[in-house]
Amino acid sequence: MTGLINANPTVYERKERRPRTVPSSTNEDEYSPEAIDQLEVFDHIRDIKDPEHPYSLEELKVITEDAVEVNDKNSHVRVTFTPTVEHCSMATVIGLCIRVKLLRSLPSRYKVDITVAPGTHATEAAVNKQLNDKERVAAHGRKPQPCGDGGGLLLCAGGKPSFYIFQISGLNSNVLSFLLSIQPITLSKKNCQYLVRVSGFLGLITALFVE
Amino acid sequence: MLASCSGDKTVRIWQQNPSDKLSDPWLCKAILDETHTRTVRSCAWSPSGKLLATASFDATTAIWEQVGDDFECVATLEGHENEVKSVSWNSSGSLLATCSRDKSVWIWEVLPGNEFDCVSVLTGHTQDVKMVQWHPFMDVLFSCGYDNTIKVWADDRDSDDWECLQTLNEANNGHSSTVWALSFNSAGDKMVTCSDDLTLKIWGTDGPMNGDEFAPWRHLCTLSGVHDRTIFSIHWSREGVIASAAADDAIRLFADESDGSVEGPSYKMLLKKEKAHDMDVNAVQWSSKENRLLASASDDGTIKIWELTSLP
Repeated sequence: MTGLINANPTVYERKERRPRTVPSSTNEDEYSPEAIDQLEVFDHIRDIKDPEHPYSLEELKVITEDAVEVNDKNSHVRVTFTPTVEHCSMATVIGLCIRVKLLRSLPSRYKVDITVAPGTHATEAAVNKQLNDKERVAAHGRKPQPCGDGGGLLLCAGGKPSFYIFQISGLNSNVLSFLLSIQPITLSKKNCQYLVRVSGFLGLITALFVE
Repeated sequence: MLASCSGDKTVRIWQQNPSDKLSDPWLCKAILDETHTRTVRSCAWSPSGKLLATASFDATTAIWEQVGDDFECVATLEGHENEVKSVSWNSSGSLLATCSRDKSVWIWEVLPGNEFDCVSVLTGHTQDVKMVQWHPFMDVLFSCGYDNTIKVWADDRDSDDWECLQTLNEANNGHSSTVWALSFNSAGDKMVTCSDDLTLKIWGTDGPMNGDEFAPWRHLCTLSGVHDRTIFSIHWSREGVIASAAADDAIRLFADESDGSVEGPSYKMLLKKEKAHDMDVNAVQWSSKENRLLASASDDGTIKIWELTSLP
């Protein structure tokens, strides 16, 4: 028993990184803003780590370059992601990671829609509604969320470049190794309360489930 | 005078500048800070204009009183488990309602000496409640939220507690997604609601407006295709103009054009203001004093004051 929702995910090879082809600027004003394209948006989110595994969302094919739609003229981005399993309770967390990363990376004029790929999740409509309600997104980014049945772990997002993890009891070793893959956990208080500050990690995690 | 609230945890009081109406028409007279510890989501002046209530994501509602040129926090209402999203005074200023992400609506009685007593906790909503609004002159409360419904609440005189009299949901031609806001016309017999489903809906009641007997509300018409993204705010002016604000950065104005026709009311768009702001427009509100002055607030960090120069 590992306690993970998808214990054995299929891992795919990462796509080769290719430099973005910048259109020749001979006829253009060098100060004119360069349009944001699909690859640029994909580059912002491809390395977000899956909450359960030390793999990136790209390696798990949760997101692909083709799942990113960009309309620079209308300042609109849509990301459609595919959870690894249909009932994955991490879907909201993954969607939030993508949303927060894009909020921080794209110019503020951009409107972003994050949706689960149709037919890939049991509670698709509920996940999509949650991911696109800006008050819910803000609430998830701030408050510790109690986890599911028998949960002993609460995670919450903190200030911008970091997040904190509270009240870890009965910590599952797989989850621990995921956390350690980001940065070693340091004990901050005696009462089983751990505090992890992960600077530079640009994802957002609100909840993990452990047995 | 205008109050604005923000994700920067402050409330600002703005006043028209009597000496320079052209180049510097509004001045920030006061900044209400160091009280709320998170986003201040909404604020409401009491009917007398003497008190300001502010609802915050820090789970509290603060009551402010003007003392000279300054504003003092005279009461803090605690009780909600998490984010308070909206606050509303009833027409006489004797009751206050608040709602929260904790799915509940609280009714507070305003007592002398700035005391506030919780008289009822209403738990009918199944998801976060986005807005509460009292009827313009009856003690009937309306709430709406993430569960796609609008609920109507009143004091049951027999049991002396508040109860839900009506729920307007998809089955009554209601909204198919989060209902973000609602507003009444000045006669109090019509209500407009706005939603994440990109529609505005007009509701009406035929009942007597004396508060003796409850008259149910029914759907009158739906305005679709008026905004491209979530409609966050709606406000009906005393002159009958509905203003709407949305995540498509636009403001729209609507007015009734039915002239009492038998087919029921129909509304036409008076004005489309694309790119009213650089980002989502979160709120619109008409002035209670100057009929054609509209304030809008946005994620771009600005408040804009608009004047409607002509009515058709």
